[in-house]
Amino acid sequence: MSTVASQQRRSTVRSPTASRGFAGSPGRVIRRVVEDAQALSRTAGEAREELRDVLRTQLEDRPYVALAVASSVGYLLAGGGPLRLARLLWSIGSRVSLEVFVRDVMNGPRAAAGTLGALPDDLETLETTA
Amino acid sequence: MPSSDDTGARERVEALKGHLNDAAEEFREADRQIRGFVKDSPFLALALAVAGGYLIGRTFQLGRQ
Repeated sequence: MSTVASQQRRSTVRSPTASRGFAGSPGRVIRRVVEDAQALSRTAGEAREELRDVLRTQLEDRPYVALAVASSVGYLLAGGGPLRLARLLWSIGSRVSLEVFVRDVMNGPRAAAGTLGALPDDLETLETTA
Repeated sequence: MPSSDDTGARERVEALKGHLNDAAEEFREADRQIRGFVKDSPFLALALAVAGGYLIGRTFQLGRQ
């Protein structure tokens, strides 16, 4: 799946209701949280599919390069590389991901949409029917 | 008229050429099999490559201790 196609899909599924934050009754808030979780799940599924496609394409086009990269990853995982470097990379990566996640949660679905790039297209319908 | 030395050298070169051709054919066959395996089950190949790299890394790590 190409990047252009995924961007088109993201632009079509983004909803203007995403910028309203968590204001409203508890039931409404819970519904929005559920919707956001569903959107996150959908986005994760799409990302997984894209990753799978990219891996498959790379493996078919350049099998030896892909296998060499995979072997290098295994080598590094086994501690073949310098341990300090691995610890440093892990520490930086986990802190950055945690910070992004907390910022998205604190700022609401709008920021999450900016990071993840996908919200369900049926948000408007769900809110009007609620 | 070629001497017996020339004939022997030519035979050795021909034999070496045959060995090289056989080796090239074996390499081509191995390449075909590897590409076919990667195409048929890409994620298994990837997992095996990671596992192989992991084993090599462990071996080197044990060697350093």
